[in-house]
Amino acid sequence: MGLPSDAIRILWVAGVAEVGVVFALLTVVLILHIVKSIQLRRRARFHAVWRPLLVQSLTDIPKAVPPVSSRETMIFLYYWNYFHESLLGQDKMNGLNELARLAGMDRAAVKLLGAKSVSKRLMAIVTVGHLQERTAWSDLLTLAQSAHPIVSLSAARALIHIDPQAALPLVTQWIGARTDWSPPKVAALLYQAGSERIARPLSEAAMRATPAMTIRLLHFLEVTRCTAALPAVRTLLTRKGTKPAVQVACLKLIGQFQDPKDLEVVRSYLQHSDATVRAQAAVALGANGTPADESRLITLLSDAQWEVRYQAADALAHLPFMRRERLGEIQAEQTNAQAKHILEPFLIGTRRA
Amino acid sequence: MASNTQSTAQTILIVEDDEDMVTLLQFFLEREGYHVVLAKDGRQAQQLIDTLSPPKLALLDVMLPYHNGFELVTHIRSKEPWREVPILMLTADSAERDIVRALDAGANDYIVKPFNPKELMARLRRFLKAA
Repeated sequence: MGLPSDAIRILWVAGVAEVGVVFALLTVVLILHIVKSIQLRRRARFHAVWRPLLVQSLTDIPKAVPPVSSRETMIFLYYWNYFHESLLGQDKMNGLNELARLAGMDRAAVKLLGAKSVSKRLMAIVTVGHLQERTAWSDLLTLAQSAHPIVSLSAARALIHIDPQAALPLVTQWIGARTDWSPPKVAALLYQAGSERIARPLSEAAMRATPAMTIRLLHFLEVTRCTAALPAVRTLLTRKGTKPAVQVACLKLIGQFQDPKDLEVVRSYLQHSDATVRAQAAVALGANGTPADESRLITLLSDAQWEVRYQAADALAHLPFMRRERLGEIQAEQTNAQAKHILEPFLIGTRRA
Repeated sequence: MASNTQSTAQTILIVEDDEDMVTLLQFFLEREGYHVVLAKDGRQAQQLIDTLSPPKLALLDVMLPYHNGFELVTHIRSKEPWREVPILMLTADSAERDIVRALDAGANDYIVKPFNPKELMARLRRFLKAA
């Protein structure tokens, strides 16, 4: 009867192991609970001391501050950055920055730029940016080359905070190259830098970049809505050898700015061999066209490509002087069935005379 | 929830669930001499609206637990003694839809976070002078 006793032994060992695992898990849970309680208590103690000081620094800088232990550094940086990100205005910045320097957090943040933990590095990057800490410049340049998109983008933002003049020529090149940077975050970065300031370096970087990078930079130029970019965009559009995809991006921008000076150039692209360029030229003309452009757009209603016909119909319907009655006449005059058909939906949305 | 034992002459109701944001708002308002009544969620705010006499102004966050800022605006506008209380909404940056919705619901103005303390005080003073 060896088998039953073996089975009992196996069951006994399994039972002991199970109890052991349960105890081990309970111990882990207990330890985690104790650690969390300690962290919460530390955070509460920190709050009690530092929240009034942080708030006070917005109006009067305290003469002396209590020391911040290395364990409290991240808590300090978290709250300090929260205050920075919640408020606007130079006054608050001076007070908060002075307080951080008094507490030695400028040195702590520079040191944390080399931390292994990404969250600590990010906190340090944001902090030195708000502090406009020039001693961190070279470290930030290195971090801006990081393969981690959030680390590199945050470093670029910090560099702009510290010295926009010196940072922008670099950052604009990175914007073109870093396809892993989130477009809304890049748009926020450009907004923070200021449209007037960013438009020229961005358009100049577009002139020197590869076609793919140029298109990306031109899309971001749309965000700036700044006419300072126009001279470079015009040059890029008419430059020999410019790829159709780049021409499309240029025409999109030119259409957005609606400068009458560009009408002649836009018209010259209505007969381009590439359908996407013809379609974008029609869009640009629709935003800014004159009565003389009506016939040009009518010609495009019979284009071989559906996209061109559609954009031409849309542009016609949205010409500033277009009325429903006139659009109806144009439709009636068309001998091409596709041209007649493409105008149909636009008749409904166009204003009456 | 802070109790309102003082006169409501310069009382401002803040409804905000972010404790640190409350600290900031309270600091700027109390520095200007206003008495602040706090509610940290939509439910507390509704209780205050139902039981307290109306303050001079209400500063409401949009995103709140239990009842959001839009619901509170509607509630305030439906309560007779509170109906005329000026309401300023606190909205996140670029939340254009929130702003339109709040104004449509009956809010008087809005402040976008992050905010400039000077702008906040200027907007408040505009309504408090008119009140």
